[in-house]
Amino acid sequence: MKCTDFWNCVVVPLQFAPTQRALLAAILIGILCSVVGAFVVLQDLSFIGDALAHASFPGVVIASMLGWNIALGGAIFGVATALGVGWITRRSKVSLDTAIGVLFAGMFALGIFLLSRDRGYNKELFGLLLGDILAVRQSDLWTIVGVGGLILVVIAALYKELVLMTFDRTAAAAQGLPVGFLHYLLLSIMAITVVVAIQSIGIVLVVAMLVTPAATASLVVRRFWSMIVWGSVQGLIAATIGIYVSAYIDGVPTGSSIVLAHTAIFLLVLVLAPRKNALAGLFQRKVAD
Amino acid sequence: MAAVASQAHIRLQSATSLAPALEVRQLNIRYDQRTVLSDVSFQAQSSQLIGIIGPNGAGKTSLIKAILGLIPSTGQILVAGQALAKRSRKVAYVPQISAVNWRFPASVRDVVLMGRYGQLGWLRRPKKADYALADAALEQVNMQDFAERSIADLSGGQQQRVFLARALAQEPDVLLLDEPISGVDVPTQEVILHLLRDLSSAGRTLLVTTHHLQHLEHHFDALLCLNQCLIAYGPPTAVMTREVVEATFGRSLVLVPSAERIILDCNHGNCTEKQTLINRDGSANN
Repeated sequence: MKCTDFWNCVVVPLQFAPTQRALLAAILIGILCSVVGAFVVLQDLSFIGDALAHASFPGVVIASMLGWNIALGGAIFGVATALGVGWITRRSKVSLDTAIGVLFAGMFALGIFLLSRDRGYNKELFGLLLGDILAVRQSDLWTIVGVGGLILVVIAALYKELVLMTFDRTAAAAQGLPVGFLHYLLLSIMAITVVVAIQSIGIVLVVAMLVTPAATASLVVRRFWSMIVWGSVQGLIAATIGIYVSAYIDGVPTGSSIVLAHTAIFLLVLVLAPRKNALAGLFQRKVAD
Repeated sequence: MAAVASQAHIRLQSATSLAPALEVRQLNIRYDQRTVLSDVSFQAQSSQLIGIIGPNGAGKTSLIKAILGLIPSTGQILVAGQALAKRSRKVAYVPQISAVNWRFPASVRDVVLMGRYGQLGWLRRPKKADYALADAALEQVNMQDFAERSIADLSGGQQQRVFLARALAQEPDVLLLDEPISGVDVPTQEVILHLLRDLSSAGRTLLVTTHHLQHLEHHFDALLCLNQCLIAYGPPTAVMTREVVEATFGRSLVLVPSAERIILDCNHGNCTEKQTLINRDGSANN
């Protein structure tokens, strides 16, 4: 793609319907992942998030072979694996981490096995592993809007319960909140979010969409809601940068450019942000009791 | 007709006001086929500040968690004569400050407001009245000037007071505190203990686990000595006998060096005869 001046460069990619859809999808997914990611980061669930992405692979493969909705197939396998992890840890002395490791690698291997039986294997594998947002159709966009909107509504509705559980699980239980239910709800929200994001970002990189914006926010913000706002804004910015980079540099997968944008913002903030408990801490800590 | 009804009402009222603020009957806790606590029964009155003492693994935290319904137990737990319902505001919990997620970014007011969440119910946002209760609770612990500060920036003692305020925002009758004076310096311990005294003087019942054995008699109205069962319960002067202390802490703790100590080890609930030393309502027999 070629352009003449700055505004021209901004406008040119948007003349194509696929790029328009891609930009919209990337922004929506970026915001959704950042909101969910704030809970993921604070509850140390990033490994589970990565595992869910990999475990959904066979579901995605089967769905794409049969021409079904890819997100639905992936979600079924993702949630099933999450339940399977719980089943293994209840049945045996295998630790949670180990059970996740066993299942997510196993499911991923199953996905590769299934896909290798199909023709056009390499091209499809690359599309699923690294994402192909320019292939997003109008119907995929509607799926993202519908499912993403539903997740945001659920989080908004249960915001105070999820916040209390994240901050102090025992106190949440002592106040009568069903912490077990809330935990599984959050895992399901994660699984669905990951699967919605897979098509555009790719299985391998999707965990960064969850974790990096919230991790960046945690370097700066002092309130949980501002962590969500920061993450959403970063999600929007990184999506936009990523789409333009992949539009102008031939062959760069959008998943890669969006995640690189997130990582660059993280490193920038890490270097520029006031160091934790250093100078600022000297003035603020230990004001007399 | 109306007179009968009002008479019944008066009877009911006097019945509930006579009931102890907290009563635990024959509480048993087993975990992984191991007895954590067996046959614990006691009553606590309003305005009482009660210390729960015992060695590590004695079941102090388990007792608190069982009263809160966080771990399975058998027996009865009555608050003001009534079985405790889920989502009850009546019993509030103050965790050990090390037990919360310190990476969670929140202001002091945010944290105190969380004390209202359980009662608000699903889909309800905190209202003006909830904010007012949170601010009043902060004033009670003398932390009102810190409302907008980040919880992570406070000292341990200040954090402890914020969590106390969170429990107070729940407007409880009974407060259960897990090691509130651990990990803070001695002046701060004094501040917190005086605060607890103020709260109990206002009519609340406070149960406080502690492994600090200094000045117990000055700060607590009653002591509950635990070691897998209730060793003794009563006023500190009556309870802190050599016999009880040794039964509670075993041979490891020597308060009074003496050649003629009587070792009374308490193992797996095999110590019921010791309870006869002191009555369940806290008065001493001897």
